[in-house]
Amino acid sequence: MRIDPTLKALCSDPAAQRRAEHAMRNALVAWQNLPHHQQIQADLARYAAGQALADLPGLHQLLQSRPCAAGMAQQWMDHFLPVLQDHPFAQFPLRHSYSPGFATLHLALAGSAVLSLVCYEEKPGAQPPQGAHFADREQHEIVLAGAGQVQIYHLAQELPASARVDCQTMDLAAGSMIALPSRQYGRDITGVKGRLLMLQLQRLPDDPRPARDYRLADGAMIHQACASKSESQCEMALAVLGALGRADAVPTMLELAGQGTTQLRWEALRHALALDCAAGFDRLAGIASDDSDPLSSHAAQVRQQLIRAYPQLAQSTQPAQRKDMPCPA
Amino acid sequence: MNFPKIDLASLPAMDELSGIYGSVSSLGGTYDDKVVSIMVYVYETVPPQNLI
Repeated sequence: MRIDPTLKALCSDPAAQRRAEHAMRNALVAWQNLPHHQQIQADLARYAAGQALADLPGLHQLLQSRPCAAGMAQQWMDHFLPVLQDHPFAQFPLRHSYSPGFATLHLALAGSAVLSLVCYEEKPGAQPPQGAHFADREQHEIVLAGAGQVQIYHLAQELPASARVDCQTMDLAAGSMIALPSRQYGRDITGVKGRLLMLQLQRLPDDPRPARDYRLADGAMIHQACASKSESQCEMALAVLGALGRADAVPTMLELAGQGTTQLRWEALRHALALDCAAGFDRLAGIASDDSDPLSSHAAQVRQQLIRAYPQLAQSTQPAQRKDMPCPA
Repeated sequence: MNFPKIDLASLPAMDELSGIYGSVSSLGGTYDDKVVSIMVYVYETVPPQNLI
């Protein structure tokens, strides 16, 4: 691995690291204390709490007026670029990411709302999108600089496994605005010339519905993804604990089987059944017998299937007596 | 009662499944901008002995 000599020198110079860190921190504090920034931050907090964008004059104007949006970006550059010139390896204090062709930087965060600068780079030879992506969020954007195109998708009709998607192409130039007011709308950026820089405002609902992708050619649903990070974390944890044979996690799995989305509950129940048949089957029978439970009919089918495969389970009518298992770790 | 050991693979999943958070279809658009999740790294540095 090649380590740049300047970076190597910085690694062994704690004083220079501290100077860069302090310079960045000072720039951040000065920028965040600007009255305009504080007004935007306060508006963003109200927006995250559910207020409509139109009722928040400062934030609304930012997303409606290119001079306002460009002014905010300019303030950001005025505060941070001099620090980066003096300390090129200083750790930038705002969340940012880069993947080939796409960069984002979070200017302000409040709850589930985020105000970002997003930059798209030209991608020669890029294929036109084959599918339309619909995520449960509200999104507003204004182009600060550059040119490109956007395909706006609208879910005109949504069926269980397909949808009718209307598509509209729009040219983008400085001052163009894109509004995706709900999950019924999606968009793809295409045809960027050079770079396209936008200010973007996003807000996620408290309980987002799964994101879906539909094929543009025939409207078939081609993918569905969980919209909750914590739910996916639980699912992955279940898979790991199940693969490790951690029977001591069964009580937690049984708890999970009683709350949350049907998918997570069912996964928890599957793993509990595989790790501890007595406790899992007892819970399965309980769910199957509760008609008000949305998992009831699925659980009843699986219960019958298990009884056919293991007839002795038909005798399991008493709640299983189980001992707490010690942690094997 | 003798309870059987049930193979996880023999237990059917739900009819409709969702991929995990952040998963996208292979027919996605030109840019990888569908889900931007930023991980924050916290660096703990130990001052060298001569500075303590």
